[in-house]
Amino acid sequence: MSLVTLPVEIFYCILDHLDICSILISLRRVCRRLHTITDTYNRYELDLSSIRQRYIKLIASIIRAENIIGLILSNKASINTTFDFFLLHSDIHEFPKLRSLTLNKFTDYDLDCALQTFASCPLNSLSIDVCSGWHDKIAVLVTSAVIQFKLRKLILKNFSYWTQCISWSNDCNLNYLSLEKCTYSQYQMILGNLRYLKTLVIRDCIIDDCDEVIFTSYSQLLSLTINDCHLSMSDIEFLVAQTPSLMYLKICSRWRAFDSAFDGFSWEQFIKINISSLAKFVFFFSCSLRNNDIMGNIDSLIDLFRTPFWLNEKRWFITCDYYIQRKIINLYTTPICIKKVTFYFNHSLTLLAPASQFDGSSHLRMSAVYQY
Amino acid sequence: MAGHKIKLQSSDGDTFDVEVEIAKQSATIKTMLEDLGMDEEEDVIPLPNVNSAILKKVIQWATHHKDDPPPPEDDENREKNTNDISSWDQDFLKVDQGTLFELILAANYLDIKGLLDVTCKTVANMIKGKTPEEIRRTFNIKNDFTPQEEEQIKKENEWCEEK
Repeated sequence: MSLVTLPVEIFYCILDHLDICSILISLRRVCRRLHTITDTYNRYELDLSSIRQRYIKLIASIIRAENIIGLILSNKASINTTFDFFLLHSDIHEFPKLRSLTLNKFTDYDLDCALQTFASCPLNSLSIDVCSGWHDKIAVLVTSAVIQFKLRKLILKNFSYWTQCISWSNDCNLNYLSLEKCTYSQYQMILGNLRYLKTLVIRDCIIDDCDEVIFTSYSQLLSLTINDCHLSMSDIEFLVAQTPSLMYLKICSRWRAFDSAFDGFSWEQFIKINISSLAKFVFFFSCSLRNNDIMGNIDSLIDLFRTPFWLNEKRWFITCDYYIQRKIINLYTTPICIKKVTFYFNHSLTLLAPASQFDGSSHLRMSAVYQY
Repeated sequence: MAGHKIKLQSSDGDTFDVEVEIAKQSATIKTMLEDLGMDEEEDVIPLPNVNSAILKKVIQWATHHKDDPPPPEDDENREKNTNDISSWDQDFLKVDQGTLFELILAANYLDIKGLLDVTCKTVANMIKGKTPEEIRRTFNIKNDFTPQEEEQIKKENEWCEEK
């Protein structure tokens, strides 16, 4: 068995993990069989925001429109010029199989033009990163695109509170939605209207005292990510308890007080009662303390995450970092789920509850590592 | 405590006792168990497309990943990221190319999405950043283009070189 004797459908699975230049600039020139396979491969994702111009000309001349399913355009590199250059060197007039469109650094005007250009495409996924423009106009364009294309996936970057201008019709087919900040009333409106929504990714949810707090159950949601919020445990519990079917939950929160977010027993009870189907729980909780009184209790804190529920049943492994000088405590699942932790402290205490330190026979060994 | 077990038989006749929950990571086996009602311990599931050495590796992989959450049903949210292979999987896949390709075929036949993904990513990583000649050397592939085809490819090359 060798690479060139693999069946075509298997080879396509390998190509799914390669960028278009690796496929059309390198692999295509290896031998006749690979040349043919790369000609017939029909899941190309064309990222015109990152390909060098000299390659765009070659790719434009050999790729077939019906084999392109994804397109990424960026205004920062003068999209119109790049896209026009691509079209100029190809026979492509339309994208009959285009399912995914990503528009980076777009203004309201660019967005309007792009949505008109691709109006006849069978899009089901749209990602928009807005750099400037009239918010109301962009909201209208997004609302219209969701309905027009019957989108299943929508990612909105650099959209903030004014996502409230978007109308979430209950005719929407969206099952994946990613936003920046939203208010609790928007959160309710989204979950109330998008009945097919399975995955919701938000950066933060703002719950104001003046919000009308009504507990409702939204059982359609299976995956919830809140990437960078400032929510207390009671707010988190309030939000999450409304989505009882969750199988995936990710929360990164920095709250001003040490609360039950750091309590493994509270979490265990909450999960068992409210979101019992949860298969994966990823979190990062951080808070700043007034004094170092907690230091002596970190052992007992981490012990509450060393119960059979955490280690055997769910296999979620937790680490706690305590920064002595700055009195900051971080509690997180391993591997750590945030990209950057600021380690600007001189003294820290780390306690781990990893799999490698659990011998599987209900005997736990504790490990403490002092870092200087 | 060990769970209920079934027997899997390789193409060369070897039989392996495997916990049902581990075997069910294979959608093919899961369907057989559910559709054909093969739930007795004496029942043997024949796997004529997988030899003993590869089946042993597949069981080793499935055993290690038995507690993984189920992979997403649709591919719409997949990202082209080949740098997320766990260190255990990287060590597991330090095998000769023949074994790696056999594992891909077995993962495809047994319909084990996680194993198919990680093996295909490994091959993709072996291709990334290489010139056509480097790919030929890595995978021992013969350049079988005709002189006319070579000429055409050269012309394409010239386009790339143009400013």
